[in-house]
Amino acid sequence: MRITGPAAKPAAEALFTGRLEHRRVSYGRICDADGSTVDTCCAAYFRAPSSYTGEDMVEISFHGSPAVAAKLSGLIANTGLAVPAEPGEFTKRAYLNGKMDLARAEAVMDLIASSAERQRRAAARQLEGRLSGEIASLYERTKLALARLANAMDDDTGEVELDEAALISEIAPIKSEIHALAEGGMRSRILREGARVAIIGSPNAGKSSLLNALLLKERAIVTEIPGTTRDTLEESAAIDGLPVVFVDTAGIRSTFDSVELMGIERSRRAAEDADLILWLVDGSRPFSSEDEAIRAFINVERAVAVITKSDLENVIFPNENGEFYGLEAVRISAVSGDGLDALKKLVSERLLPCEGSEAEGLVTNVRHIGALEDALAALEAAENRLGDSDTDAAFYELNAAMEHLAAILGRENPAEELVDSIFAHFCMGK
Amino acid sequence: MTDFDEKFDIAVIGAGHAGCEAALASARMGLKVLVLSIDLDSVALMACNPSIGGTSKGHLVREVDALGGEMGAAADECFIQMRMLNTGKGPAVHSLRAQMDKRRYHERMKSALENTPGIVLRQDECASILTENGSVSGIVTALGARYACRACVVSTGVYLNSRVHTGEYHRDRGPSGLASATLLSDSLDALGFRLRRFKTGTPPRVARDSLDLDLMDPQPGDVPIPHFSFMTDSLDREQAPCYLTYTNTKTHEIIRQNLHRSPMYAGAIHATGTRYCPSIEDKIVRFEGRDRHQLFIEPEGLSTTEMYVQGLSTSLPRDVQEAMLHTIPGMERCRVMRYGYAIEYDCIDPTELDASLGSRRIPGLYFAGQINGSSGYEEAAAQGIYAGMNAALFVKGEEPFILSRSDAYIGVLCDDLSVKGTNEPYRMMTCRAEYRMLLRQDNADLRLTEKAYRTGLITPARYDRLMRKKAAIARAKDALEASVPPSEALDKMLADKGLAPQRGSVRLSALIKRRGVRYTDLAALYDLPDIGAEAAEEIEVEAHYGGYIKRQEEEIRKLRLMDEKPIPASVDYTSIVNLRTEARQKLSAMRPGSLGEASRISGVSPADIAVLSVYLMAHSDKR
Repeated sequence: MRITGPAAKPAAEALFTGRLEHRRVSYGRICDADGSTVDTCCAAYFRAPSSYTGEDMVEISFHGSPAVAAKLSGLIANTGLAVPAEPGEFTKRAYLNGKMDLARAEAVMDLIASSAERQRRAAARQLEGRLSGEIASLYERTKLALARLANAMDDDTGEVELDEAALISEIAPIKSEIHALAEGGMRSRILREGARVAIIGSPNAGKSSLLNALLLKERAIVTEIPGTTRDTLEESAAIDGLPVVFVDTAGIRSTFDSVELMGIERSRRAAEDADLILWLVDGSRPFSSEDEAIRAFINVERAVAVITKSDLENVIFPNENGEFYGLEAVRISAVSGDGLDALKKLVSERLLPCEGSEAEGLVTNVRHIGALEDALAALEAAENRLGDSDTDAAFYELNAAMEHLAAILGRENPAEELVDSIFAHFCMGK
Repeated sequence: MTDFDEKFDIAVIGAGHAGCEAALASARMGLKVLVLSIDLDSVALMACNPSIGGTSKGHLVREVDALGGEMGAAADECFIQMRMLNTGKGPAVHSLRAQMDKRRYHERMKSALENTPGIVLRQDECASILTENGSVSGIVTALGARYACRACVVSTGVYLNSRVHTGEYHRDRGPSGLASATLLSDSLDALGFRLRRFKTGTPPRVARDSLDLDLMDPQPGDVPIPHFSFMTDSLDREQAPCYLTYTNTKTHEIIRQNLHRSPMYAGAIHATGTRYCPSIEDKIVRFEGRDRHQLFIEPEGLSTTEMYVQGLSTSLPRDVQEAMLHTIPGMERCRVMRYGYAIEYDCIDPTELDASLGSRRIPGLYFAGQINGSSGYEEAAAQGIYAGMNAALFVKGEEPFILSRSDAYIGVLCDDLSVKGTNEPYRMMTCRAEYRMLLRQDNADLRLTEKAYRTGLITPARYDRLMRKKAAIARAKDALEASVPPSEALDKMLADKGLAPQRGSVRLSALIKRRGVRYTDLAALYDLPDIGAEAAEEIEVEAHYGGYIKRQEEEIRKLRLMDEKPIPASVDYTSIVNLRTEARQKLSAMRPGSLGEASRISGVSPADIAVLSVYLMAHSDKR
């Protein structure tokens, strides 16, 4: 497996435990998101320009099973620092950077020709049937919305009104369908790789106790002194048959203690990375300014409120709708075990909300999920720009969304198709 | 061959909008230029609509001007109305359109040709192009003259073997009843060019005194009057209005009943029309659901009563044209002066051309305008100046002047034509320009004038003006780095624009990014240099689009890497066994000049590009 480009080193460092030094091969482990070892391997780092491509490059040699290869490329893509390469991309870069020697040329050309064909066949297989149909439909509709916008912008007769609101309502369903597809992709990832659930809350809100109760073992140190858990702890458990990685974070607390500050920073990051956040609030004590500070950075769409210590006399309760600060809430006691089953049920429901969803598992290719997410982000930006009547920028974003979808479908010339679409749907010109 | 009547550096065949710019550019670059026109009274003839500019076409005119061309200056002199279009739709699609006095425009351009040293303007028809050792060596005319030249710009417009149609009337004619050019097609064919038939059309012209203009909406020009040329300071003159009216179901009914008499539908025309400029009969058939289409009634000039019916291009028979016109509000009693017609003509496949608009096979042979399958005066002028510059550089033995897709609409136009080709008369559109946030009409001078400096087309006055504008922008940017404290005056200005008050100190460069805040608003409150409207516009647009401009610049940087890898002309694609067959055929036919160009050819995949890049490296090592 090879990574090239300025982010090659940070991307590799995100998963490889060994030290990367220029022109040195080092031994280490490739770690999964939960810290478990995927494979032991060797990695070599080459600093630009002394590499095959002429860019920073990392080559990882592992125990070549296709499953490990797939896992590894998924992990690399998940760092957000790298994307899967196009066929022949390395050679292209090597050429563009002026690195390619004659001896290797013939062999490399053979390799490219055969591997491109393999990739083409694989992509075609993946895109057979429903997924292809759904993405093609999304692509066509995005293209039509863009054609409508382009027609209004290119019109110089004053005949075509630009109706931003209509366009926004045209984009909205496209967005939610892409969201469902990408989400379905996430769902299949969760089934395959497990979900990340972050446990956060004020010091001594009962985070470690809850983790222990869920795991039925004493891993985290539980004390009466706030701020005991300094490192994040990661533990795997099956919740309703679903593989879940629980991340116990340090108590988030205003403090000048530098070790603890590092812990807090980790907590924030764990909360950002998590598929679901369990926000713990001590039910036996009044809501504190620390609780408020934590609430402020929680992504409400991905969080559940857990009111702890129901075995003690409580001063904090969910409202009559079972909510706390707008979040679904559950009361538990890690000591008595009350509410733990309800919490587990809630966790599994929230992680896989739509049992047997239409979109489930349709999108499994890492590159496709990435392209869908990019298309979604571009559509959101297009909506915002349209809302601001920023037409030029809206066109740019909508066009980007169309190109991301075209890339999944392998459409070569979306720009030309757009022009065709404008002429097919709109009466243009003098 | 020594039997030439006269010797020139360059021969320009045809003096329409492409030919005029080509001739002026190459003569201004110091060469001796022969310009042939089939009729000197039709030099720079606006055979169709009486306007210049419009969406994306306005961009082209400004780019032609920024390169030292004539069209913008001539339009500023001969306009009878100016309007900046799309002002509500973002700076990248602002477009200027001018109504012209057609007669004056023709006279103005002809006079420019007559008064430019080095140009010989002559009425004659080119019969054949001569080559020697595979390169252009001269031309022979219909009158039998033989002229030596080292380069030739073919800009024959719609005149090659042209045939006009109005209903059952079909004649071998050029536009407006002019002669068609019947000799050159055979010569092009003999030189190996595959000729195709394209078609375009024009609406009827009606007498102003026969219209009830009171029943139509007048469309006045803008005041203050905007202008095309970066050399124009300001314009002040009485403007003539256009008039807006609509077709209706009665009009459409008449057209439907007579479709069988349309030469297009009756099968008399075997050429490809443009989807952009459909005839009214096409619009009725293709957009059945629409119960009206907009028509602009535009004056053809100040010294004539002829009015152009924009939106009603047709080749239906004379009586049908009259019947449909009489259903339109304000035109019930109108008198036709010229009937609409369709015209078909020969053109080449522009993928025969390289990035400089020169033939890939015959050195010295350049093509510009409708012969390349484009449509429109502005597209023609843009190709004209570009082909003219490159023909001149070829004669001088200098490197070609290449504009890429990221430099200019002209670059997009020439790249689209020469790499992708076209199956219909090609029209420029803003959505074809992927970097259009950068390719705005307001910054055409900043993008192109310095780049063209080496060609000699940029006059000292134009260069000075650009330098002053750049200095003003730089001064203003420095001044905008100042921080200002919150104040009542600032909050009042913001409140007037519906913006929230400013909390705390702020840089002026951040304030100008807020929606609707203009440079002059800040200059009224703070100590900022007076930089003029054009420089201020640059600052404002850049502030508004900063993030997008950066993103596009990054995309361009990637494109450049590919475009800067040349492919030598000697590459034998058939010997590169790992290319897929389709790619091998396409590349052999197109012979792209760079890896970037190759990657834009349809049917050439990223894997093919990788294979090709490896081959190229091996190839250059062997040499």
